[in-house]
Amino acid sequence: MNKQLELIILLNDLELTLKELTEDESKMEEKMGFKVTKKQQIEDTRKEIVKQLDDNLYGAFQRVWKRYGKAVASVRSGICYGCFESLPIQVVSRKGKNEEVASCPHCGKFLYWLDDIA
Amino acid sequence: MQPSKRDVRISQYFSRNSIQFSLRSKTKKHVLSELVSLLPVEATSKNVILEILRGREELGSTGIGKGVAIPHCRSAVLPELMLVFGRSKRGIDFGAVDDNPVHLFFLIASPPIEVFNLYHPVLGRIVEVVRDKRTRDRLMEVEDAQGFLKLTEEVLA
Repeated sequence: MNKQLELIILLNDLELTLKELTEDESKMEEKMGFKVTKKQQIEDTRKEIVKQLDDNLYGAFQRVWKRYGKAVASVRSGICYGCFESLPIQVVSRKGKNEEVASCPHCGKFLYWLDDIA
Repeated sequence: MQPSKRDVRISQYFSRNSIQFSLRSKTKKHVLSELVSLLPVEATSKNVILEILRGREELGSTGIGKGVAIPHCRSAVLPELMLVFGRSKRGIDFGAVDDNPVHLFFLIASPPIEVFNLYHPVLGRIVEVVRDKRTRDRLMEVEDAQGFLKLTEEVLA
């Protein structure tokens, strides 16, 4: 997997974790018996990822995140699961898809091909 | 309509290779890595999942006490919800709420969006059943994957 794509996915997943645990979901987990306390450490991890991420990609990440509340979409059978639109043939026919950073031409989310690992 | 906790058949989310009765790890860091290694996904995806699980643990241990931990996370690299079971008879210091060593591990890994939105129902169902001492005792005794899946069908389904 492309290192920058890996960082984008990590950042997306960490942002989702923070979002879930700082909104209503946090209470849901606390009711189940989980501890949710030290937020500073995960913020530090997040900053570390951002530091390694290309500035332009981080800018694009922020724009998409702000708009949709998520910035990565999986792709299956040529369909972006972020917006459920078919991807153009020139995007779908590329080899080693997760070896490059690509985004959906319809919704702008960064693409992660699950087909490649099936 | 979102399924209730009672509608969830947990056993279908385990694969035979995702059940480990004798974890080798002795530390929290290593056991997370060992549990992730049992997921049926490619190596780079495992790295991402491990990082997110570690991030989740930084927010507070998922060791819920009574020898049980349920590390859980969502990641875009996952095609579907997956479960792993691991057991350590020796016990591992996992920073659990009661500070006791953890013997029973359930790892829950899910994509950010699922068709049936089962992540929290599955998490809640596992938490619910492992609170029962008899279930925990049986999980400590079960010796093969078939027996484990039969037990999960019985207590979790």
